[in-house]
Amino acid sequence: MLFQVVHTTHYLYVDAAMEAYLEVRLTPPSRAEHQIIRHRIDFQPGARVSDYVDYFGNRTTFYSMTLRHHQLKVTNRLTIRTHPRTLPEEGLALTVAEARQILRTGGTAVFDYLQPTGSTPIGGDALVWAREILRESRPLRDGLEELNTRIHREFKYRSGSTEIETPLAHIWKAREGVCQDFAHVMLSVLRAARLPCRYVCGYIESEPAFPADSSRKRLVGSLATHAWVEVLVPGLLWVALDPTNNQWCGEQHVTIAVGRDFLDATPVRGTFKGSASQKMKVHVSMRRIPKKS
Amino acid sequence: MKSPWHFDTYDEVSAADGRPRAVYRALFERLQKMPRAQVRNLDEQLEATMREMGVTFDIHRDRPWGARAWFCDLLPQIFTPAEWAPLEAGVRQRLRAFEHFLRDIYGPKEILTDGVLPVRLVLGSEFFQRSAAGLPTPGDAFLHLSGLAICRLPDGALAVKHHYFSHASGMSYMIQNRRALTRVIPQSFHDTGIHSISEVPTGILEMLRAHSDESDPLVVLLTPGPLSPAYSEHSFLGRRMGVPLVQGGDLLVLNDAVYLKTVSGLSKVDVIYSRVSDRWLDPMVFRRDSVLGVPGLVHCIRKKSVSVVNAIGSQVSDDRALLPFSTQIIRYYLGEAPLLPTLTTYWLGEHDQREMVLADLQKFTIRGLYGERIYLGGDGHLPTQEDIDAVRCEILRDPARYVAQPQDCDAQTISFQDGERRRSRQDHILFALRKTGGDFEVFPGALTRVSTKDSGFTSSELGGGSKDTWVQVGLDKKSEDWDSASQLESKIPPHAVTSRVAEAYYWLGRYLERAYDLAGMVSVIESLELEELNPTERMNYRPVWNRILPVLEGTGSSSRRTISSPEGRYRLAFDAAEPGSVISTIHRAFTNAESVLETLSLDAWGVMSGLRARFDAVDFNPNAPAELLASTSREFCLLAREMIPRFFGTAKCTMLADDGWNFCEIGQLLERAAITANAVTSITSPLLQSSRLALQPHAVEIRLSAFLRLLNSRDIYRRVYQMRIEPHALLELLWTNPVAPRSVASCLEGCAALIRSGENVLSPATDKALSAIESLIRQIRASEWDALLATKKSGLSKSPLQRHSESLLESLLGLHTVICDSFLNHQVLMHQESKPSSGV
Repeated sequence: MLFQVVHTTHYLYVDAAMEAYLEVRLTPPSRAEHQIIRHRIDFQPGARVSDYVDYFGNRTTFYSMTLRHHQLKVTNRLTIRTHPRTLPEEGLALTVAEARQILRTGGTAVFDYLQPTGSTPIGGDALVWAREILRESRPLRDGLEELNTRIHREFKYRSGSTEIETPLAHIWKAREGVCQDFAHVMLSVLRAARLPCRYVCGYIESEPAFPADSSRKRLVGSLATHAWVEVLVPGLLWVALDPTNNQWCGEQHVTIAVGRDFLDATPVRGTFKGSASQKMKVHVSMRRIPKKS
Repeated sequence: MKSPWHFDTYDEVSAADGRPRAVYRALFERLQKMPRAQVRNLDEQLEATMREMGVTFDIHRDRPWGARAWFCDLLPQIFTPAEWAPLEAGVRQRLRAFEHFLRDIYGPKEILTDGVLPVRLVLGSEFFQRSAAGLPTPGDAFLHLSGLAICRLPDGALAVKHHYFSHASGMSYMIQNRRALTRVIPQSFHDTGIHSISEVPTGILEMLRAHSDESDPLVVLLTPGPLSPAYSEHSFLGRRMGVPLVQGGDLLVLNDAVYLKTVSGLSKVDVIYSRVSDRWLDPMVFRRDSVLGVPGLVHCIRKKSVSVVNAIGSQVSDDRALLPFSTQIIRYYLGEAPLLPTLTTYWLGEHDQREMVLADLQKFTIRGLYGERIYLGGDGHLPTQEDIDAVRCEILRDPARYVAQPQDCDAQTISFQDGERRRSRQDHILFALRKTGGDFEVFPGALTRVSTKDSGFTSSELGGGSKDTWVQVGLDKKSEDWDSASQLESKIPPHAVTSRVAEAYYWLGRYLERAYDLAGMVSVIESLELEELNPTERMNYRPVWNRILPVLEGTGSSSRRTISSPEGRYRLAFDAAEPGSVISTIHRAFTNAESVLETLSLDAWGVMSGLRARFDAVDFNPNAPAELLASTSREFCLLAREMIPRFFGTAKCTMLADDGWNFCEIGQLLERAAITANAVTSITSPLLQSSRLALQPHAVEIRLSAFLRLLNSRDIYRRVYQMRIEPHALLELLWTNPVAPRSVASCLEGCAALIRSGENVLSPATDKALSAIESLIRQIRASEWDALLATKKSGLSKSPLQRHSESLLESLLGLHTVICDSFLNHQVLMHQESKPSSGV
């Protein structure tokens, strides 16, 4: 499928800012599942920017604005063709115990994705779910699919119900949150089960491409960036699950950044000086470009 | 109650027979022969010397001037050449091994894949910085300036107690101890030949400069600021190396390079000697809440435009959980046996070690993986059962955060405190510098830390003291001639005042002037209300006052305009919750002064803190009887009127007349001009009325006289004009008069003169600021007050006088932005920097 994405992040300051620094992770990685046709990041006010690849492999763009300004706008324009993803059936057919055993030999490359983080603690409910759903003798695929479904079923999606800082324990208790919380819940269970996994930030197509097709459900997560989870399976291959929409990720998902949790994969992160506070407005539009007939 | 516990420890100064060891004999006898009073005298002299040299270690933040001078003992620690040579070799070997270790774990991680160290221990360490993987390091090395703590085992062998590889703290105290001791007991130095350590700062500076390709690189020392206990060390090193001491806010990142903001513009920084822990260094990468760091710094390192020493990520080598693995690390990378043993260290995250330690907890000192905090032991006392139980609980909650080391690892020594001989415990911190070739040079000295009368701990953070540490010159070397002159400070090259310092002074000047003017107004009103006014006069006065004085914002008062009641005026003076009150303004001035404490003279600071203390001592009670409120307001406002000018006077006599101080005066003058302009603009309509309407001359006189009194200008008016108060003359006095202290034009002339007197005459920023000020002065002078007073206003629109005054006021307030942009936050210069031609 061919998509055109426009993602804007707009900061409006209460007072003018004297200095602003941004680090944005908005460039999709090179992957077999998609092909970047065109990509550009615009910053306003304009300044020279430079790139690097971070520890988790994300292409990161650094921007600094040291002139007085009242607002700051980042626009990510992306034209991308996505392809259907194939699941590594072989690896997924192994039991949870076998998978764990094989991945343990991954050593330092796997270590980071097994550790709990501030946003993904592994005690309490996470451990209970891990024992119940990701039982050792169970095929990995079954376990992952049930976990995905359970989160989708037992947690209610409610936009605006949580903040970035809301602790995961609160999410577990309230059983509601947004895609980022769904992803963190899933990571915490997977890590409690000692299965390596990572957080993914990306875009998802929400509007049905063809309005006539009323059978297709509108997918949750549009108008802002979306989040889901990738699990490492034997063969050192990552598979992607979207607990918010209870599905394996496919052609409608576009990956932009990965990390241990949200903090590693924040799409736009800023530090400002001079203004007491600022408002941030984010808008994402993802439009499918129909095939030429 | 804790009881002292006699560990079986090594005695540093006495041999088994109780007699002093040979190396200490001469020194000891000299001190022994002295009467106690003389020893006490020497000790006091030493303390006074330390204080005079400004050596402090402030573990109590409530004492801004370091009431606690650094404690240095009269009896030095001596290392013989036979002891020192293997020690030095051992330190160098260890540093070489850990340098390999850091390169490995931030690169291929072979030591982990080979299974020599548990993966979790390294990658799970709080100070393993993922962002350091692949980051360029200065001179391709992580460690350049390192420290290491050494102790003595009961059998006399020296062993490594802690690594301070990433963060060598205490070098200045090592140097200062030597300087102080040579001043107090110079004769002792003749007894023995010792290595000089006076070249240490020069060595560090050379190392730092070598990390830039520039021929004359800008090196800065980045400090967390005056709240850091080792701030005195930071300023000492900055001074001795002649490099600017900067805080995070002094630097900014532009086009992938770091710049220092100075009043004369932005200067590109080439090398940063960082005394800020990694986790605070860059809020974009590390802790988001850091205000000590520089956003974007890591990116500049990545783009190789700046070097930071030591390299980011080094801190992981100081993790105490790695100490038990030192031998493996040395063997793995160097294929050598360790020359220097490591003090037995147990990491409590490991089950068997934890069980062993918990079974006999009183024998151990329990520490965290980083920092100086000690949870149990380490103070030469037997811990109580309650302490042991509490620590056991704490350990079991998260055992991986603790290590244990045997309590008997610190040698005993003798120290002299208050003329008394005391038994103390001690350990040593050694320092080493990486040379260009890659080998390490160990400085021939150390910071020997001793327990004192006040603290059983040796660590400075925990109140310990110190000894000067002598490394004897070997027989094969000629004794170095002792040259006390080489111990004296070299001349420090002056460098530009940083914008942060200038800005703090600018605000200090503004706030103090504001507090001064406001205090003046309140006390004038109190006097008038109390003594002089009849009800008619009051009626004429009050509208004028209300226009000029700040409004009360709090809900505590019955009205926002309660300036006519004693309670309102009392609030205006003392209500700390009112942002515009005298006390709030003094607090803000104080905060600014505090942030540049190191540049403020002691005398000036004394006046400031005295004033604040007096105001803070007032027990705020707005419900007291009106009479009491009125007299308190008046008394204290008069005090502020007396102390604030005293501050300016004292500072002028006692401070460096550099750009920093210049900006305090600029702030003062600009604030005064703003207050005058604002006041005179706010009475435009009464002025117009009195000049045109047939208002009774007496009433006019009262109003204008009240107004001038508030601005402390009535006597000046009389002196200048020697006539009744007329609107025209009043406008001229306050706007244009060249000699009246409050006149806007004369304040602006003063600002311009101060800016011209600075060293930055040629900068475009100076030109811009000067031309803005001069153009405003011309506008003010060109005002035709007579004509403006005579023009009637048409309909509902503003009168021409009102419009004119407001426009002048607006330009005046705009000068603040011009000055900030030109000198303090560099908006002017950055426009130039941003031109494509300057891009690389």
